[in-house]
Amino acid sequence: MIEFLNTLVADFLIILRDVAPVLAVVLFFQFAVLKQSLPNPKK
Amino acid sequence: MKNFFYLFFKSFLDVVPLVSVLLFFQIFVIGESFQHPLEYLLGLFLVVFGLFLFMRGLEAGLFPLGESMAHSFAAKGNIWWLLIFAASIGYATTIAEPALIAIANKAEIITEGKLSAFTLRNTVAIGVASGIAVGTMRIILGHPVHYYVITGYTLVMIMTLFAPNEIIGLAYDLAGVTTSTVTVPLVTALGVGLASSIAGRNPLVDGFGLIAFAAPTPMITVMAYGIAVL
Repeated sequence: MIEFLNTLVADFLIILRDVAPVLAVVLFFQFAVLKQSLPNPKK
Repeated sequence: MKNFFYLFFKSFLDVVPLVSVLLFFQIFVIGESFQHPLEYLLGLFLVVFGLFLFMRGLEAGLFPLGESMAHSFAAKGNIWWLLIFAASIGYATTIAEPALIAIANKAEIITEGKLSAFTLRNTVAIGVASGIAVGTMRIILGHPVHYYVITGYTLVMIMTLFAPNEIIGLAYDLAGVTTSTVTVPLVTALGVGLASSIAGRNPLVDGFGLIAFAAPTPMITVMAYGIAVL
């Protein structure tokens, strides 16, 4: 079970790392180019 | 809460065909029972739950954000920023594709380092970025999508004649993995959002088709990379 949870956490961290460039591009264009806040940030 | 269970059940229904095929072949064709039924059940639950979270994430976050940014860029009226945004999204989503990472690493091992996984990922990402930028330009200009797709695949065929045999299959496969989990939702939202904010464009006719641009261009760039190093 612990091994399974470790794998789950490790996979989650890998996904976060992989998605980081996408998030960076979206946030850069939203704040620096469009100069707008996020629509419905809670969502 | 009722909505949660309904949406979860809908995700379960989406997985039913796949599970039915696997069960049918396991029981009736292979004729064997499952070795670890509890593990398989837990895995199935995780697939359904993962699909449920992914779909809710797309509906709540990625689709509205992509569309809203496309609207804002169209309102801003600066084509160059829009094209740079489209290319950046294409590049960033492709570099994040887990399937691309897996195939690129495999290619580096099989070719004993002649093809670098890092360069291969970047070559594919540059191909997708340029394809998405051209596709975005196509939406702005309102040209029919098939002219571009026919031209793209004609270039692929010409490149195939000159590319080394070792790279052709890999280039074709890599084009497929670029249109996967991360790239498709954001690029679709960009295309549909853009087509619905430009006067005279129909989201159905002009908005879709952007993903099609992400396939031929990486084939061309990867074959060019193969010609250079193999």
